[in-house]
Amino acid sequence: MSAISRRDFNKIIVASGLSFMIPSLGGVMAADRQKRFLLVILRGALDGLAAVPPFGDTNYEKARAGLALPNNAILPLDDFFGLHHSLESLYQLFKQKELAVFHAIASPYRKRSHFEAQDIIENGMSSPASTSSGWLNRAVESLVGNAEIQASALAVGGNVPIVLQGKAAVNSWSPDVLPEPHDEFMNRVSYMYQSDPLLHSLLEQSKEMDMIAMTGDNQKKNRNFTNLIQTAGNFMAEEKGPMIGVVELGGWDTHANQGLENGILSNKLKEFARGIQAYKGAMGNRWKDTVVLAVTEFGRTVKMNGTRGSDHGTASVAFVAGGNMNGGMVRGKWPGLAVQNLYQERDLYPTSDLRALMKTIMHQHLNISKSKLDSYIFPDSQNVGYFKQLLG
Amino acid sequence: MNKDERAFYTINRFGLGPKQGELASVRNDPRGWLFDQLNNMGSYRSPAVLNLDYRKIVSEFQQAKKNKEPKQKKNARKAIKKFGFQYIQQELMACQHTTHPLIERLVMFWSNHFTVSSRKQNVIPLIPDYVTHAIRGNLKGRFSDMLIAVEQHPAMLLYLDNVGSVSPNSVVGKRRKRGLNENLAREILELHTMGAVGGYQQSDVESLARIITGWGINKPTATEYATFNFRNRAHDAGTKVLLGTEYHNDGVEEGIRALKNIAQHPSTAQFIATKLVRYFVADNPPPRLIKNVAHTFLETDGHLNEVMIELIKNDETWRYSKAKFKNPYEFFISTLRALPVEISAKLVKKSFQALNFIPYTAPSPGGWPDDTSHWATADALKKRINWSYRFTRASQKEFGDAHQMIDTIVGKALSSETQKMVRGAGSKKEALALLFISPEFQRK
Repeated sequence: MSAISRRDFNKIIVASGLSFMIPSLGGVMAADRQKRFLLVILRGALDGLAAVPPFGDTNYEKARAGLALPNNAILPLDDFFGLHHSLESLYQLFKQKELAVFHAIASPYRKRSHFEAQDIIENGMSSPASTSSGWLNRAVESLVGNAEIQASALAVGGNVPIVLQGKAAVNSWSPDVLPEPHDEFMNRVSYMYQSDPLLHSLLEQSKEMDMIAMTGDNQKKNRNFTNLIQTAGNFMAEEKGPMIGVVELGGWDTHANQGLENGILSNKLKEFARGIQAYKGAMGNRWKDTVVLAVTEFGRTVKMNGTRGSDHGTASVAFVAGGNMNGGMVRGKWPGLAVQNLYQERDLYPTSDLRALMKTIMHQHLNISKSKLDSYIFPDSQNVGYFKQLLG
Repeated sequence: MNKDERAFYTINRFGLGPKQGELASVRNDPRGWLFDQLNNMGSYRSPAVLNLDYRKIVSEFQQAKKNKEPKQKKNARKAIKKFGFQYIQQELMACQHTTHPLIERLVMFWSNHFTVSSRKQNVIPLIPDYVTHAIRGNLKGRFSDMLIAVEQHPAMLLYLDNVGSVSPNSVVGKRRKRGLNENLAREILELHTMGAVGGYQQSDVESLARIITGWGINKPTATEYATFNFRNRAHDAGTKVLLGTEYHNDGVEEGIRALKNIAQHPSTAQFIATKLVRYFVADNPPPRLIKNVAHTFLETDGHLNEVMIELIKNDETWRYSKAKFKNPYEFFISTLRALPVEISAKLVKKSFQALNFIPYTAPSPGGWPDDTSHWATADALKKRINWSYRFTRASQKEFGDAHQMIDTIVGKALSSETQKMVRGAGSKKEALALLFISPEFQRK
């Protein structure tokens, strides 16, 4: 019995999204092959009230005593909301209408466990443990009509996160922790693989991927966020590059000494903004076909806690950026910071469902049908509506 | 296949990869080698210390929590992580040295089938006890024995949130306005027994959830281990209908009876048989073989050894060479068996980092997937190449005659290309690295 059937072999080649051997995808695609979507998962619960301070809310300074930003550290988005000044490059995007901010937004999950909440923003369900596949993987399935040929998706930075796990074959790339063997050794490996179609093609793919990853001035070995997201950009900017990318940035769980205009959170925000800027740069003239969505699993308490930080909350912010956005707006109904307007008298009240935003992007940017989104990709989400005109 | 190839195939497909000299002992009767191991199931003891005592680290964490001392809590967390790592080290040692690798593979299979994950910190300390008692302790029995042990184990009850599940009509439920948590009940049906298409309804999930209300734990202390505890005050006293059978209030016995019934369901036989055949035979498990194995499962009331004997006896099992791909853990273990270096914490940490894999961190209760496309990716292969090169380079062991060593590991089971490259390598360490990265070593 042969080691691998021709059908499986093709699946693997195509799933790479990178090999020159991809057959033309024909007319069965739902989305334009040139579109790009990057999901950035901000793990640890980003304090949305610090990233996008609602300075216009009369209760802001009192409710957030100890954590309220001084005016000179706020970049005004309008007369109500601002950006933490560490998000300078996002501010530029906002002014160019390439960024939309969604506030008071959350998943349907109302407990405050990181790992459950992350599961739910990744599995697209209304409860954490319901499925072993992610909504983005299900979206990848829907991207093409022909089940055999799968649009490519790439996780950069390590293991494939739940959001990209599922039936559709996806790829991953992470910087090598160990140095590469010398050329002579690699030649021997190539020789060994020549009558093994699977390993041969994987080795070729890894060489192609390494070449692409090395584009620009990022270090191949470096595991920092800017390097990873820029590498994602390098891959996705290729003509036959992956349509979907996922990167992650942790370290948002600021229970202690969160800082104000400077400090732990400020540094994290700088890192995030730097990464988005690097990604836009890497995408070059594909930026106009690109949408980036950054989400976090929940927000943080309005009130400062006993260690000059904040504890787990509910609603937070989400950022959507791209070269063809209907941006320059802070969207979502603002619930207010008066005690009676808070969730359980402690958290920002969620007035939008994150799934609405995810569905809207999948529909408006990638042309995935609402019926698929409402029932399969985000099961039981018929009652979760869509945002109007996110793009263009 | 020549004799060496057949032995090599058996050792990889059903074992953990060849130790030096193992090929020679299997060569004449591969199937017999497997039957012998199954026959010894009752008396097998793993060659490592696996049931680590968790009471101290758990009580230290509980203390730190009580004291609300953040530094103490941080240290306690670190200690728990370290404990988890120590356990994995022990498991690796067991796998490296065992003379019964089929049994260790079965432990891996069932631990993954009944996954608990270290993503939940309170589960980590209980993992050694879980694998030792619920899994290893029930390999020689019937499926229902293992199922009951697993679903009553504190690790599983915590992992899938049954500890907090309370019947709204119970004493506790009424007082604290708490309710059912369906998580464990759903995963029992969907992942542990009948499978998603096994024919149960949402109402069955709810019924099972109600049946196992009250299934909780006695928390561990500095002197006491965690144990199963049935709380009648949280239990649903009503009548439940599960898969067409009525269950009246019978305390903890309801759940035991329910699990036994589910274990005997034809869908359970089909689901378990499918998973076993996929694990040991091919990613696309042949339906006829599944049918035979499922039949044996039902006929023997789920007797696990009998089911494995049927699988091994069946000629169809032996028709699928190269049809499975080692996952990173299996790959790592196979190199440790071939080159039996000391398994230090440093080696384990660095290897997991380099290979991008840590056991007991499966992202969902479904466990790690079991098909080639998940593990055979460009990035994963690159990681193995870099790691194999580094591992053999850094190994302190003296190789002596590398060619002789390779002979005792793989004999004549290598393709001509692999042979040529391995034997023509520039150094002994490189020869071994090439062996580890060869096509033959990636598959099982």
